[in-house]
Amino acid sequence: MPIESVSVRGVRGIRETVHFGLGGQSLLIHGDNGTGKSSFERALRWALVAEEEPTDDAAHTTAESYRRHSEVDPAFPLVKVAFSDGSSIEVKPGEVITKGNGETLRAACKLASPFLRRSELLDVLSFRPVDRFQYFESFLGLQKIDSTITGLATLRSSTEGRRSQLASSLASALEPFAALLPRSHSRPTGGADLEQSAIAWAGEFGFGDDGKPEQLAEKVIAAAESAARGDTSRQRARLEQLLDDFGVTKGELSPTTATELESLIAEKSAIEQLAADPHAATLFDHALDHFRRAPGETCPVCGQTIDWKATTLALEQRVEALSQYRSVIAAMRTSVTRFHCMLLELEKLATRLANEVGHSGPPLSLLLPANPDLLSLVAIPQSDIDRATQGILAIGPSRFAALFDQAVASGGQLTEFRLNQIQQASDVAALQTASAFFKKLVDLRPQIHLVESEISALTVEINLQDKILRALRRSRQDVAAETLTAIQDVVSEYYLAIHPRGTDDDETGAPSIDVQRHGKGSAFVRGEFHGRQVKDPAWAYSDGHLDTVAICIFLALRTFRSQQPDDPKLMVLDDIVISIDLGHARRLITLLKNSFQDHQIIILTHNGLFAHWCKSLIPGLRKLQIKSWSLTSGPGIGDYPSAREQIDAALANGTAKEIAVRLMEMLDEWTAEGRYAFAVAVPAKVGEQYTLTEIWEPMIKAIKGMSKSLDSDLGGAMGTLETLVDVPAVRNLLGAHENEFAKEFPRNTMVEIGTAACRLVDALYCSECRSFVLPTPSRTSIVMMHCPNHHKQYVKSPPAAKASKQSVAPA
Amino acid sequence: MTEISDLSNEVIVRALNAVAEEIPGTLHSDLLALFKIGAIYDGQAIAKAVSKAANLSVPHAN
Repeated sequence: MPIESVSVRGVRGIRETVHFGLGGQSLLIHGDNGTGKSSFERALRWALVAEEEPTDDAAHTTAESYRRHSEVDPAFPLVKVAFSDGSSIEVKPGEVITKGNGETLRAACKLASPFLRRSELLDVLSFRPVDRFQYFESFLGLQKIDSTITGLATLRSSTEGRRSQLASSLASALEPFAALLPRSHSRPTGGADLEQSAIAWAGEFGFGDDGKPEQLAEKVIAAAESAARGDTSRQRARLEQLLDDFGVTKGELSPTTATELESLIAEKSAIEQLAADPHAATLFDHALDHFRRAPGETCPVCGQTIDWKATTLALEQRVEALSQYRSVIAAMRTSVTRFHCMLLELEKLATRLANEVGHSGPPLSLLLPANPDLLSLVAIPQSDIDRATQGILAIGPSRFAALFDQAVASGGQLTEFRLNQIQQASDVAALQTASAFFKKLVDLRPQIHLVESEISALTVEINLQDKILRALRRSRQDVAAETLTAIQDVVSEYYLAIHPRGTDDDETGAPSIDVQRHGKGSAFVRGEFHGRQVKDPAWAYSDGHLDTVAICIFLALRTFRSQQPDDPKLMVLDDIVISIDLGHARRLITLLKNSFQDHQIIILTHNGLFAHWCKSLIPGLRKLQIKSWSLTSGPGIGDYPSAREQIDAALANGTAKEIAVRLMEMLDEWTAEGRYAFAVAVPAKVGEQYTLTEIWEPMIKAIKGMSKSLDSDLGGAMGTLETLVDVPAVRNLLGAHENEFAKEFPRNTMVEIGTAACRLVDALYCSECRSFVLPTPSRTSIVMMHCPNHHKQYVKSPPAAKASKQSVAPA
Repeated sequence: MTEISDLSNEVIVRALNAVAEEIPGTLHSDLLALFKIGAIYDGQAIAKAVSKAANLSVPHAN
């Protein structure tokens, strides 16, 4: 949105309100050094981009205090910028008042960085590469991305904060555990660590079997309570007695005992085989048959001769065997009873042990976990000797004795182990501490797990956020580097527009921007001299070339920024051509005119010729001239009247000399610009400060040559030359007194000369295009002459029609 | 040259493509949803969408 006007007061050299009318057009402010141009530029900076704000420091005490006029109160400074759409921005110290789109426009101006002043020109070249990269980046409109990154970084920071808070909370939760743990244990750093410490500590009390913290806690807590009640000493006494009893029982069923029983079993078996004689069942009836018969008779059963003695002997043998059998059976019953009794005794011991250790299954299974045979025998009452015998014989005495021995040994070991546990757990104070530890563990373990679980999830979340952040930063850097490389092409294009190849400074080539992506990114500005790349342009470039490089970088960045929809398309250039010669400065103006037609350009300069060229070349440029300045009244600003308007006024009412003065002013401007338009060769001169005399003759010669080539009077221009032949003489007589001048050149003569000069200017200069009617394609091979929009054009006449033509094309 | 308004999108798309390579799943559709609701420049929304794509959920001790 174009600026309509700017009002400034109390800023630097401007005391009372000065109104700068732009009318939505570009503005040229021309004035000598120290006349307040930069005060205007700084006032604009304050209003548009919030820089250079005057502070309330005491006058002359700080750099900031010099930002306001030295004779005004701190609150007095004010800048008001009005825009074409009625919006406005008004700034006072510490206050910004916007109307309409003022706030949006101000934000857009801040992003646009539209200001370039002489003292800032070389900043971009003197930056460190990393700062230069960031400076370039600031033009790329990546603020949304920066905001995204900032938002994500904030989230990451918040997540990290939450994780730290939880870690701190975890550490606090673990602190009491660390205080309870014996010094021999390392401080727990987490839940798993804490549980390991708990298991290890429980192991020291003899509770390390199942390894589950909750169960261990139960045991430790119970042991502590038991110890507190004094149960431990009684339990120890019981266990010591039990251990003795196991010791006594040990060996009661020795292998010898088993062998004896097995011998009895074998003996019984042998007797039973004897008794199993098929004849035994009828032995006594048969014997009676023998005794009923007389000796020598034949027995009807066996057919043998009756022998009472042999029969009696046989009976005696049988009776003795029967007696032995009864003895064996009795011995076996005694032995089996012993086995069974011992087993029942063992079961009693096992029961006592089971009570001590809290075993809930069959007591004997505590001693022989994997043997069901003995367990079934325990269920047989002691009185049921036959079942007991049957069971023991089924197992086998030796195996029974071996299992018994094994069970007794196991019972002894378990009792000893338990006794050892009791002895270890006998330190009541340690148990109380451990109990407190485990109670706390049981209480806090779920919470600790949850905290650790959240810490773990937050860690994953943070890693993820880091990944996104890295990816965003990296892709941002990539895109910035690629875009800056594209901008670099524009820098070269602009540089070559100002320093075209084939000119005197051809050895100094276009600069390049070398963007490197490492760290935060770097941007190096390289030069080119004599066909070789120069690491630092300052090594080979003149000050003027360096200024041009900086201007081209600024303009390329401006071009890029101007593509943003809300870009203000504004450019404020403050005395940027001090070191640039006027030839290059003129090309710079052409570049501004051609490439920034959509911009409102505010140019501040002390260079009269540069100002004149700007005025001539940039269409619609509004001109203000600062004629004077004083501390109290500030800059005296007036319109920068065109010489053409002034001579018109002089021709109407002025004296002969006044007409001559205005004529020279007009021709000075016209020839200075026409020299370039018509490529008039003049000797080189420092500062290009040519007199009219030095340019006039070559200029007229060039015009005549073009007229001849086109066979045209160039819109009547040729008809004026005869009248204008005295222009050098008029120039030379300007120093004379009014009357003497009038004698030589009376008013009517000067009116005639002045009118002819105006006709010449009008014929060869298009006031609409603000451009000379230029020879095309060049003066030396001219085909036609025309202004940029063909309002005026002179075409070579065809051979048949030797008359000159001037056609005016529609705009 | 690329339009400025496109540059930010270009950065986002490149970054999220890089993240998507590391986190398979429904990242693209989740992020597309962000584009639709205009939250694609919301760093926190991006993180949440990526987190969702990665099937992360944070239990809270409170």
